[in-house]
Amino acid sequence: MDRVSTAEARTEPGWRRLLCGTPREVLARLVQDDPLGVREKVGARLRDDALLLDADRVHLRALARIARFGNRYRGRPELQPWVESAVAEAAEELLREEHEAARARPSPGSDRPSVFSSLAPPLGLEPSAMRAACAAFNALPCAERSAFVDLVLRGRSLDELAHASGASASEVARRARRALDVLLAAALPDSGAEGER
Amino acid sequence: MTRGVDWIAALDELGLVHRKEQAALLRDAASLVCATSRRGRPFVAGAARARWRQACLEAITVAEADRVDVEPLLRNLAADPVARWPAASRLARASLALDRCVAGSVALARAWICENETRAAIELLCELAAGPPHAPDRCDVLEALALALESAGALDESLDAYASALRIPGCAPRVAVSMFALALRRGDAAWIDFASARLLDLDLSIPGVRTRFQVALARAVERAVVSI
Repeated sequence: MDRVSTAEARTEPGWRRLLCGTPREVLARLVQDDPLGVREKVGARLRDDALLLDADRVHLRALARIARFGNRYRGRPELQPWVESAVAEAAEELLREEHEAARARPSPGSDRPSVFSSLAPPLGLEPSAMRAACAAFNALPCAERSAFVDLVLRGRSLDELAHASGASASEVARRARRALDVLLAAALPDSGAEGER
Repeated sequence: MTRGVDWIAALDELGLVHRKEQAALLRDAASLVCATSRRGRPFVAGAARARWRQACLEAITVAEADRVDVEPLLRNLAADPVARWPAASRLARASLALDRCVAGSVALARAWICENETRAAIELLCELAAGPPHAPDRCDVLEALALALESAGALDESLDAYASALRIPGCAPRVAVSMFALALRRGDAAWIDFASARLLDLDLSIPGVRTRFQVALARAVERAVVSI
């Protein structure tokens, strides 16, 4: 297999060698040692945007998109921003697909488990409901998602978040509460949880 | 290999990306067919056909190289002039068969509007619009619903749908233009103010912006001539 080191991939001859050929050939190079650092960029994207998406799925989609559309890359923008935009597009596509899957509302038990099923017990929810709940959560404004993720999942303090965001502590708490309400309302559609907002 | 990357899963994902690309090309093809009718023109930018054909030929070449099935309709479309293409609704259905998504459903609804099947379009779009308020593609759904209602003569409901679309951040200015033209026809001062407020940020001294505004306005007025 045509190997291109990570450092080499970031130079022009490197990316040309990496992205030439059929999409399948490019994909074969990309899955070898991740020369473009795609996994790291997926993690950063999901963290920065506070998205509850399966990082493995975003990674696979991003690799496939880079493999398919790499033949259109001509060296501008710089390679790393171009890869980041491919990661962003992959995440955007999966957000749409997750939303569509949640909208279709499969019968209970027929849905495949979400990577976030482990969030369900602490919230008092059924693991099978987490896919729809995450889809609803991901459609929220970024400030509300971030408040919830930072406060609830990362365990940062309210004061710390208020200081970092420039909002008051009560506003940060309200944002996190709105996100929680949406999660609960999507997971328990008949509970009226969203009506408490 | 990279931690956790399964080659078979990666290949499956690549196949999915190919299919989604073909589905998007079929949606765009449906829009190009729609553009031959007055009601469909708002959705297609100029000189799109040449770019579409180039993209289609490239998609076919790389799919074949990867041994991924190519939707047979695409091969015919690449070879034939738009005038010989199948109905837009058939293209939209073929797109949905490859990738069932909201964008595909909106393409089908737009095709129905252009084919005078407005009732079916309204039913489909109302179903899509009933989804969660933060849904992606919601602006496209509401814009198409507004057009369908306008085409069906339900002008007040159409204005409501345009207004709902415009309340979504990032909604295209052409929606405000369409709403503005319809509100003027209705002589509805409140909706005229609402739509014009969304156009205030447009800098019409910029040639490109001015041209797009004039084209959008001309299309909205042209559509009004058809639907009155």
